Amino acid sequence: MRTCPVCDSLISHDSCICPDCGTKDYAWRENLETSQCGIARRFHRKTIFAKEVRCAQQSGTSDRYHIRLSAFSDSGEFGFHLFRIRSLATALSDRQLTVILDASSWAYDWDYSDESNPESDYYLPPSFPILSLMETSRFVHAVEAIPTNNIRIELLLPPRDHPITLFLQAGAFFHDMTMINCTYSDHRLPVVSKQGCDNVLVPLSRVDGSTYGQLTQTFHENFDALAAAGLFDDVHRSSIRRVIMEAAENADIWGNGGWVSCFLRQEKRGATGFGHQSTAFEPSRETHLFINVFSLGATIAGALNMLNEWEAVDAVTVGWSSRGVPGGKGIPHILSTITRLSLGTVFISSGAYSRIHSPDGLTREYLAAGTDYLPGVHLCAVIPVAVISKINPDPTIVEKLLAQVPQFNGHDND
Amino acid sequence: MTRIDNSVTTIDIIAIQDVIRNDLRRSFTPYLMNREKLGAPLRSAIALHFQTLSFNTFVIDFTGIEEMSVSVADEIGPKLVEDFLLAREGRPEIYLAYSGLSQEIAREFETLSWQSDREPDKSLSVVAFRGHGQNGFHNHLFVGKEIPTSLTQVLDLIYQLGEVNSQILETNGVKAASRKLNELARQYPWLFRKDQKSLDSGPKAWAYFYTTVVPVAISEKG
Repeated sequence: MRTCPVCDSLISHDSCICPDCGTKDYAWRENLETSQCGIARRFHRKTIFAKEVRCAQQSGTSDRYHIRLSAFSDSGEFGFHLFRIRSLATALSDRQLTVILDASSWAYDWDYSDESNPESDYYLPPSFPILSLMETSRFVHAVEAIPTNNIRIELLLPPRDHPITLFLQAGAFFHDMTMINCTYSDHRLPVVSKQGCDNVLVPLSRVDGSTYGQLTQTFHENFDALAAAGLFDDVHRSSIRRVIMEAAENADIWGNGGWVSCFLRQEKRGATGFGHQSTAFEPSRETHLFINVFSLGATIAGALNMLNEWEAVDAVTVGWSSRGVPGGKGIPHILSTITRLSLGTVFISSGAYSRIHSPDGLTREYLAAGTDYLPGVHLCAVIPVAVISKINPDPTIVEKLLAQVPQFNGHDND
Repeated sequence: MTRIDNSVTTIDIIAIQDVIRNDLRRSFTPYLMNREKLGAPLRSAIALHFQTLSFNTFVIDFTGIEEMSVSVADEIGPKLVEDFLLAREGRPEIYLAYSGLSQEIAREFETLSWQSDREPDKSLSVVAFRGHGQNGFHNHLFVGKEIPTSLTQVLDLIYQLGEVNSQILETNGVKAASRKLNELARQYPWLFRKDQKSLDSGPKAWAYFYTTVVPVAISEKG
């Protein structure tokens, strides 16, 4: 037996709901689900705490749901919040529910404000919480997709002239959303100028029926600027663009619409802090390309009619794609090359399952119950610009990799 | 669609960007992706034009397209060529060519499987050109399933010289030219024209001449 974190009543090990006060222990539910899946040793506790859940429940009574965003906000946490917001919105169907997203602390994550120099800073700073930002955007889009019409989102941003606020606007993370209202905090922060990142950010772009499944011309123009800033060779620009196009196509076909964004981010400080004071600065040696694609529809297993997410992710990383034909140099080829040769990092989150292929050659995977509440898939590929040139353009690699996986021999669906 | 009439045939040139704008009524970007939403409708819209062809060469102009995803390339590559061959049954006087192929697009086509779904033994291919000008089409290549080297040599000479027969081929160093021409006519009849022409040596003298499906530029004839 366990004790309830709220009323200290005894709860059975097999249950996650307190019989007396009805409190649901989300962390215990995660533990139970992981055990049932048979991968108990691989589960990863997300950053949601019982206290936060209780706070959310309390604030729910006043029709306001307050979420404090941070550089560590992730899909597990957002999944729980989404679950609560959906429940509250349904329960309070005759009243308006205001979801307050407090992003004011993001100002402190842009910690190079004092030493930045727009003339010499080419890329986004290393500590910039890109993954968290993308997850936040995915979460907000998921909140907007809740089919009740009584939700309003209040986004509290850092001061209006702060670089991260300007960056969020340039990145279009919360663009085109009807139910969102932005306000700006008035922290007493030092006045800083915008980082020189105009050419290393491809704003979040939607791909769905309204765009006829195409990435926009603006997206491609921004990508060309990014590729120029990253000094990509033409042949690699073409390969990377196809990766993005195919990932976006998968998100659209499998997820019934998707969002795409790309960045170049510098991964280490220069000798004198952020900025490139040295004349020997080589952008390609210090920079990673981030490709982020997410959708809000089916998970990968749902799209591929597979029983569980890890087998579906296996299939995708060895070459399955919505295109349905083998060959080419799209995302299966590049992903398999990146993961096989340990050239970069690939992160895939689908349903409760997340997997990270990291450059040390290891694959980390975990289940998080919270993520299960967040619909769709998030794919992030992080490729050091220095190794983009090493991506082997030999398309037969995918064929060989597919042949190594018994269930895909002959690839009937290909 | 642009129509060119010459003494031998009519050539209809249709640009993919025009099909997207006019037939599909969408805005055009040079980067094509998505089988369901673009590839398949584009292929259907182009294939509709095959129904009205007679004694025509149909040229699909890729000018302006920078990149295609594999799924779109599959639709307007092997699947469209297969549609064309189906439409060509009973109408052997119609031909197909691609034009305005950039290196990236040609490379994308190379990575696809050009196997016929209906007849697995049949290898699909199409003659393509880098571009065309007032003098004709230039820089030919054959896109699709790899054609045996001995036959490619003959095809290259047809597209370099504009018109050949077995004698001309033999003077250009092709051995067993008649057999290779017969083999080409049997396996790849849609890649060139085969016309019976009378010879100067006598009123009843004639021979088969093998010509290009579109006029090639003089520089190409080299």
